[in-house]
Amino acid sequence: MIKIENLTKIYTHPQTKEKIVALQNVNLEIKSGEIFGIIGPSGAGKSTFIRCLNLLEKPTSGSVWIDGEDITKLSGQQLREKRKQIGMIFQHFNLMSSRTVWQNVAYPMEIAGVDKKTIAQRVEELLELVGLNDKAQVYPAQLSGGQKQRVGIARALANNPKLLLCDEATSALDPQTTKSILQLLLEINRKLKITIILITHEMAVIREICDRVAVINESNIVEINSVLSVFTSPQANITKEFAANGGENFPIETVKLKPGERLYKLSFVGESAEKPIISSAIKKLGIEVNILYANIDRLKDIPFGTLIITVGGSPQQIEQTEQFFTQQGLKMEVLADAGIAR
Amino acid sequence: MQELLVKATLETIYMVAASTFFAVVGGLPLGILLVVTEPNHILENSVVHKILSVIINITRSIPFIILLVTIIPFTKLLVGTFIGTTAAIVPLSVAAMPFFARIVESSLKEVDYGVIEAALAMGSSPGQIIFKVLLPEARASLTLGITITIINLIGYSAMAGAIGGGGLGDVAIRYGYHRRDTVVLTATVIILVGLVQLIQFTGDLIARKLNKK
Ligand SMILES: Nc1ncnc2c1ncn2[C@@H]1O[C@H](COP(=O)(O)OP(=O)(O)OP(=O)(O)O)[C@@H](O)[C@H]1O
Ligand SMILES: [Mg+2]
Repeated sequence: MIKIENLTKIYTHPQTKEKIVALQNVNLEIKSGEIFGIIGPSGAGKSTFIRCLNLLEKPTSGSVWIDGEDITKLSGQQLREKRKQIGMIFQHFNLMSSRTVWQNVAYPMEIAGVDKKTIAQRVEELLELVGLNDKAQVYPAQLSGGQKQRVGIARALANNPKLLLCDEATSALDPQTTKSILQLLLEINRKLKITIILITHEMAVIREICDRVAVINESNIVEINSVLSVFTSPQANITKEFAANGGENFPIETVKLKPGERLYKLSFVGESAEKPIISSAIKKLGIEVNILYANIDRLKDIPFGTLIITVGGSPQQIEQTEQFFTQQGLKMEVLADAGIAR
Repeated sequence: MQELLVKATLETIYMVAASTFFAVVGGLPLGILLVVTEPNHILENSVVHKILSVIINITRSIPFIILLVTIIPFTKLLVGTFIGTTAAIVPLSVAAMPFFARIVESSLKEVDYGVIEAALAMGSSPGQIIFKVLLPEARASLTLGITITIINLIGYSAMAGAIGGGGLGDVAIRYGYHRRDTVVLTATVIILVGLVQLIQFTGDLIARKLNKK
């Protein structure tokens, strides 16, 4: 388990001595085995935060507890030992160009004093896991971005870490490669029970694999929640912007409602997304429905959708419809109301 | 004449080879130290960095012919005499060492700091960063740096004649300039050009082999 207490990082400009607050009093707990996402706009302090977790950046104050140990209190040698149990992958992969894929993956074990035979065995295993057996003797320059990140992942897993830190690991990749790398991370998380902390500025990444997410803005965490909650009921303004799925920008004012009609925004999650709720409502209650906007996404494995519809009928029908939607587990929001039909 | 040229060539090769060796042995650690003590590097230390930098700049700003004379007492202390081919190796090494240190510095600075950070994140010690990351990553660029140093030393060694060091440069001045023997002069120039070409070609070849970028 990871616990971050009152983490503050202030950079001082080397010449002007001007102070830049990158993180201010950040508190956060991350459970073992979860995939925890951190999202925020550029300059929010995301990289600074994740780099404080293995002390690539030294916090100005506060503590970082990893498995009951405050790593900010460790000596140089102790810290090096601790770092061997924390994997990290980077936006620009940071592979050694003078080493082959095989040698890159072997490096962390080499410096940890693992014997040659074990290294050879483990490198094979890891390359198998990331699907790069055939590239073992190739130099990084001959690999595609996605393949380079796979090498980065294999290297990060070499010493069997319990924690994997990902700093914008997919930001330099195209959407398709991003998907395959995220799937690999998900597979690793499930197979090896590794806790993964990833930072990104793309909600798609969070949606794809994260369990929980912290939203960071202007050096502060403004929201911590399950990914589902962040999408269905975002709290902070910045979260709303990130969670926007198109429905938010729907031009409500252009909809001309007839008397007796109401305009709804419906969000549905999981099973209810797969049930034909609207058509059963029409059949059962005899209402008139007009679908103005529909979008369906996936949160990790859970389907998640948004609908904007108008419903027309008598006040009684409208009331029954609303009851029906609530029973079916939809989240419902009335966007506009044309008043009672005469 | 042939005998004269062979002897001079061997003297040049001897002086250059020996002083290259000392320049690398001394300059490499200096260059490494210069880089790792920089602000925000793995062994940041501004005092060490500044002192080294100043010493290197002072040594590099003295013209070789003046250095040659200035360090005569030091040469005498080391080899017992300040005259002859072996004695010439001392000033040549002293001049090449800071030059090579600067070359090492610029080569190591070319190494992407992201790679160093990745190695740090994996738990590397400063020694491991230097020997397993910085030097291997810069090996092609370092090879070219050694090539430049050798070629520079061939140039410097021409002045070794001033203290009886011999070599091709000495022959060119004594026979070509003082006695106006154009045949000898032309021959030494051809040998020098060939030597430089050969070294540059070999250096480029090795660097290309080592470069996996
Ligand atoms: N080494 C540094 N020295 C001084 N200021 C820094 C340093 N690193 C980061 N900062 C500043 O700290 C703030 C947070 O930076 P950080 O890199 O953590 O942002 P980020 O959320 O990762 O942004 P991005 O999405 O652009 O990567 C920024 O204002 C940045 O300019
Ligand atoms: Mg960043």
